[in-house]
Amino acid sequence: MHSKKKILIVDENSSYISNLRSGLNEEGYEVVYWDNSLKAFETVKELHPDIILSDIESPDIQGLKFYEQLKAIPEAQNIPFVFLSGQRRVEERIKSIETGVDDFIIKPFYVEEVIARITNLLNEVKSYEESRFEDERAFAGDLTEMNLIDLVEILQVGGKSGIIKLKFGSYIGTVYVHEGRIADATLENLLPEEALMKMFLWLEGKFSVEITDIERPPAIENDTKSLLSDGMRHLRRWKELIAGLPSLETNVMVNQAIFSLENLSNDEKEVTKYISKQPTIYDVVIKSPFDPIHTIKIIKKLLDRNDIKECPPQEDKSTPVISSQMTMALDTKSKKEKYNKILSNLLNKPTTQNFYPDRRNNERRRINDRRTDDRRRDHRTQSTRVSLDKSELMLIREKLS
Amino acid sequence: MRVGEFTVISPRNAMKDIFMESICGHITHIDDRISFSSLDINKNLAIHFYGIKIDFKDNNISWDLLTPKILGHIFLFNWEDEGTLKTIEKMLDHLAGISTTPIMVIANVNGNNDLPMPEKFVEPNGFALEPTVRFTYCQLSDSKCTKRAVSGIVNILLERLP
Repeated sequence: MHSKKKILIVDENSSYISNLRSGLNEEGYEVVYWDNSLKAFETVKELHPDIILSDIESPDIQGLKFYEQLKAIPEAQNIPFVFLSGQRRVEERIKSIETGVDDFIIKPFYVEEVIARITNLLNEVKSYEESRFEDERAFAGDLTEMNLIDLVEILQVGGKSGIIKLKFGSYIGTVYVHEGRIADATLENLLPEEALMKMFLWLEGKFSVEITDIERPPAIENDTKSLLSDGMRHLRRWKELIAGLPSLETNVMVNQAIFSLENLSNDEKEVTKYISKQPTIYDVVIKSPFDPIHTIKIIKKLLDRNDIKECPPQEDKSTPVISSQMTMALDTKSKKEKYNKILSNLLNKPTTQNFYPDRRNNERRRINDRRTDDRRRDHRTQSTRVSLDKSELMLIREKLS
Repeated sequence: MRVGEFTVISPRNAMKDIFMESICGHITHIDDRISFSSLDINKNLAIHFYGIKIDFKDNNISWDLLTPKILGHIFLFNWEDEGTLKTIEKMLDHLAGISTTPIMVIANVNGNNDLPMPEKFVEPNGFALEPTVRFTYCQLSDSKCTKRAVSGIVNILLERLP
């Protein structure tokens, strides 16, 4: 089951909002409403809303300033932002749009119009997210061939910074790596380490890696090596556990015929709370308050005892696990080419900032590079002579094999 | 006797020594940075390995004189220790830039580590990073693996010959 899109609304005047809230709820959105922007700051960090609607004249803070402060929060940087305003002045609208606000809606508004605009904006975000997987500047691939642990190891060895985007079913997560160290991870509204550990277990889906500098305060302090080590350990256990289960994309429901809360342990009761709406097995793993290993053990027990059972997919789950829209350019290339590209990024060019930490040194490096390039041209035009002949080389190869 | 020569460059003495010993079965220490070993192919042909330990700022090796006589360079670093990669990185880039001598970059993996070698990366001749630079994984004490890496260099040379 797709998780509901979350909308945060900040507006002093709740009378405008009540109709909008009902309309959005009917359309399947989850709405969180605050009448002041201070609460909104906290909510953004906890809720990870998919879109924010705010009155431009919030009671405690001027709208544009609120927008700028909100965008300074790392969690809010990529969230679409829409201003609601009773002001019809064109200057104000232009000023807002210039700051990067995604849309501007005049009050009073038609609820249907607002819903349509929100839907459009969310579709744009979705398209953007998916296009990142096809961006040729990044490299991308399939998690069945390389999982998150492999990807982090590669960045770690090269001391590289980059953003790893992962997609599994309807879930999209992000891992930020700064100079080979895991700095942050986001998935739904999980805590960074929790999100990371859950994504370590994704064995199918898609990934994209963009090598880029990360300007993000570290949210994960644990050593990357120990995180990877934990991830490996959990992954081994996870593989053993899911081997005896249906696909994680299988929907499950409570088996009303024999289900009785009295027969369940406290942990089992807790997990079954998340099975009421026929989610996929993985939906339960994501939402469960327990770690994935414990949760999957419980699901396995419940399935074995027939307390829960498989059920047909929900309407929006009839598409394959991996959406066809997510087919990436690299899928058509061979595995070897893909790894070449990854390793070339790591080893072909040294991580320049490691050698030249400041701007002045970068300039020096450019001069040195130019000199080196000149030398390369001089030397590489002459092919190195091989001091042995073909038969001798073949003898060596034979001896070594 | 005809001789084919290889350099084995690593940030630690133990790495190059284990590598050379796994192929030749013996090793001679010339000084605290240089070691030597040889393997007879037949009574008229042998291969020599010159093990060189390098430091991060090493730039006092006369590569321009040495390189034309060398069949290939083998760079070693520890898969779990990015510091060792950084140590060889600069020299690797320099050598790849000044000649077309084949280079094999080997990530050393230990059998007991927590980050096992990704099996899917293992290719008989290594992955080509550039036409003359390849990358592979190896357990340095595993002679089968180290010999395969040297064969990878020989294969590059054979591909070049008419």
